[in-house]
Amino acid sequence: MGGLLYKDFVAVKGKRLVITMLIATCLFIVLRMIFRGNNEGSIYVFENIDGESVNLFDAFFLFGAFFIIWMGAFLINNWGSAIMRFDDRDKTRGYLFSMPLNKRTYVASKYIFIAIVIYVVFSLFLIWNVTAASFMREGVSMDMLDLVNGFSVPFLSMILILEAFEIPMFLLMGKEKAQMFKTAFWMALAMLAIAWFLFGDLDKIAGFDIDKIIKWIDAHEFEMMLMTVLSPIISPGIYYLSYLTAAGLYERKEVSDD
Amino acid sequence: MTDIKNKKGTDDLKRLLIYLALSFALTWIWFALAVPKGEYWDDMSQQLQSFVALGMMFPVISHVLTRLITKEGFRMTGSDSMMLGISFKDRRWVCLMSAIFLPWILGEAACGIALLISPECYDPGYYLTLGIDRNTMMIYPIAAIVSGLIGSFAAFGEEGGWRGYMMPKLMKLMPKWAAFIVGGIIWGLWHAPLTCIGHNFGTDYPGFPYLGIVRMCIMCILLGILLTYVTQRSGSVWPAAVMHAVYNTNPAILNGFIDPDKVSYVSGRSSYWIGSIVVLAVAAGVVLIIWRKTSYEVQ
Repeated sequence: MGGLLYKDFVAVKGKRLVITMLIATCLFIVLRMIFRGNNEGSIYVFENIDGESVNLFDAFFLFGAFFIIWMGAFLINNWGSAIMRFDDRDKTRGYLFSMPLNKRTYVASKYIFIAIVIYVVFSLFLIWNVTAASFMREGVSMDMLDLVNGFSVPFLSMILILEAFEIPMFLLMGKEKAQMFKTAFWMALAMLAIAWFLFGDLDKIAGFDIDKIIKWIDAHEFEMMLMTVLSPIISPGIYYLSYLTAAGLYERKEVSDD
Repeated sequence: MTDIKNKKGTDDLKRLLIYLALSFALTWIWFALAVPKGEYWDDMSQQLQSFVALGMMFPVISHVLTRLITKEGFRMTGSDSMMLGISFKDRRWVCLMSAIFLPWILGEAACGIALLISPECYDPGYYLTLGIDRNTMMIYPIAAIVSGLIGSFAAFGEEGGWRGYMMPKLMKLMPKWAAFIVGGIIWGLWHAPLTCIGHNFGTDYPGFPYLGIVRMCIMCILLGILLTYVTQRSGSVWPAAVMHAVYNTNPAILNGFIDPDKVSYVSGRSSYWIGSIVVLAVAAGVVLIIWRKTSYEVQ
């Protein structure tokens, strides 16, 4: 199992990324300790259109926390298929199965790898989030950060559920069909969005108020907590079911080299 | 043969000293930089407290640095490894399950003892003063366990160092019982800068901060026995990290019904700590008996 996980780690050029992320995280922390923001009368404090004070340093660090979770989600989504494509290249999968390797173990390694990546991304997000929040005062930046923080667990749980569909698709359908299906799915979503922009009610966007969402979250603390508690319980359940199904079907499937 | 054994012992001692020097130096420098001068734990915002708590990552960072310096290698599993792998074979999953649920049971028991010692602490509406509504209170233990699990990286930062490096080395250098005591004292002293600014026990107690440091050492010895047991039994630091993380979130529902300020200090807040030390001592005693019976050896 360890060897399979390491193979996937190499496949996604993990070492390079880990070193980059470690350096970026250290830099982020050091910068935050230097630029603590919130200094009254600072030239870096501006007023937004609602008349609220916004410190540019706070905004910059807020963006950092926001960036890390989106980049993480992008990486997870990309790696879900990349680790499968890597095995197709140079007949790696055929070579793997020429060794005493259980198909179930092979499938499990894919699921475990993605689960580890999601755990690491969330941990990294927490570090960036805590760093960004450390010297912020109550205000619009803090509200935004709370918003990102509040939705981070359900968001990553949703990514886990997406992977619960993507991994078996790549395993069972083969890379070409699965890639086509994946592209068609995202294209359909994009088309729907474009159609809505063309024919939908754009007043809803014009009237979009982030404060309303923040107020809604404040007023529905219990629902938010329930979502944060239930999503990490339900999504691993779905993920595990997906593994059982995929492993069962994959055991029956002949290994093709695509 | 004796020479080889002595040489190995000296090497282990040197490695341990390098690890401890790094761990203490890095963490204490971090605390000095992150904590605003003259501020106590309760003066800081919750966000700043979390930022300071990132210092928990330094034991595992020191572990990695020590292995780099001493060229011990980075084996994930097996003897002299970093113990990062996890296996559920041979009923090892029991360790993980215990790691998740034992802190909850211990927390409830500690609160129960606190209520027995000073029943005047009981306040059926105390949780409301903490800004927790009735619905949230009902799911509080599960919420605390889940948040402990998903945010377990910080506890991993500590356990990856203390249980992943220090304890195996100490157990090679001295008898098991001595290793628990020495390891607990080292771990307790590592917390000293935070204890001195009122983390864990506040600032308002007789003998502050020295008695707080002693109390922390006692708690670390007792908790260390449980954490070392799950680490050695499972061959992985992850169950210990999970147990530590869940223990830190304090998932006991009875916490919402105990008002520590309702009675005098002597029987109030300290009653909870007496409760938790009694419960930890009993749990540690049970673990030591089990350990002796099954005689699991250090990997």
